[in-house]
Amino acid sequence: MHETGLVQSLLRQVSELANRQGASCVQEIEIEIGVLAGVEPLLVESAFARLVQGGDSFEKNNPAARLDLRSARLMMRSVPLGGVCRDCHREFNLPNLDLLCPSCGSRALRLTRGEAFRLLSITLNDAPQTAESPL
Amino acid sequence: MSPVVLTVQRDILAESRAAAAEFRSEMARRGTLVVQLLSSPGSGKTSLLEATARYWQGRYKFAVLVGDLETDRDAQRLAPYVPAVQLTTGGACHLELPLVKRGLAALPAETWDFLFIENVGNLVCPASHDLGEHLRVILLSVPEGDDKPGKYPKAFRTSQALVVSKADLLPYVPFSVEAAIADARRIQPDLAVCTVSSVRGEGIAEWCAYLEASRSSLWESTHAAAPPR
Repeated sequence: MHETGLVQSLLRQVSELANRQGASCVQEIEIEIGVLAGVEPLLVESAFARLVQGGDSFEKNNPAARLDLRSARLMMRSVPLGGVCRDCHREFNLPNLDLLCPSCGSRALRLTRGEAFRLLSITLNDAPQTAESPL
Repeated sequence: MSPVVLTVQRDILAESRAAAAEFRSEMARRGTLVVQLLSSPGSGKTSLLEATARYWQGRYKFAVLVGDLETDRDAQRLAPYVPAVQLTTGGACHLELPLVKRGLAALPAETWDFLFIENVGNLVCPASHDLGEHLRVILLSVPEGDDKPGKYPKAFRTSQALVVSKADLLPYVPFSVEAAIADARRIQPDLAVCTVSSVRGEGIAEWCAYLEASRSSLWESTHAAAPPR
């Protein structure tokens, strides 16, 4: 059960991004959970609900940061395994965890999605309109 | 004021992954192959390290960092063979890099040929955490059953080698080595495999040869020469 630590890390990043934009309220946090990310969505959901209720700062270097996350919605997008076959060079999506190319049956697959736990976007509802992507 | 959507597209573990990559390069520069052992509790990680030490008989300098929730029993078991530091997580289900670094600092200041990190017995959470190892080895002991790879896919997917352990028990339990390997390779086609019995020493020579070859190729890719031994 490591989801609590992962959600803490997520909330710290959200908090830093929102503060950099001068926002004090986050409306939505959109994350991607690959089927092979090793992260359980139900546990992420309950850890998230529990952690945002405290209203504490999630930033180690900025304990005074008081970002209101209590009304933030968590949008979780599940991503199936997908990638490129190294033999037939076709792109594929896999319906399960059996790493077998659906076109040629090869096992030489390069996975490009379905293994990640990523922060996709955050929606701030009182930030300046000129907000730019941080990266 | 209307909402503003900020596109981020960032791996939530990016920071710890970057730290692990840096640790990995540093250990490679020092000539140390870092090997993480992953398995359920009681699969024989400590026994495999004891057998490894008996086989090498001091030919290589190695040390062990061993993770458990409580007690220093594993470190005590290993102490007659090799320097070992116990990492107790106090209830946490897996090791993370800062704990590994602290353990390394508590070892004698030596240049190690191999550093083994024995993770907390658990096939779930450790799979998601990069400890800066060069090689992740998963153990599956035959009493556990040959159906485990498909049930714990992430742990097998992220490993480079599988050690089928307690092979001396094969006559007594319904376990097919071939079925276990086939199941694991469905999720990780490039998995190297060794079958061992640590108590009898069977397969330990192959396991040690695999470790030596892995260290040689790491050394060659880092130093552009064969290792000095």
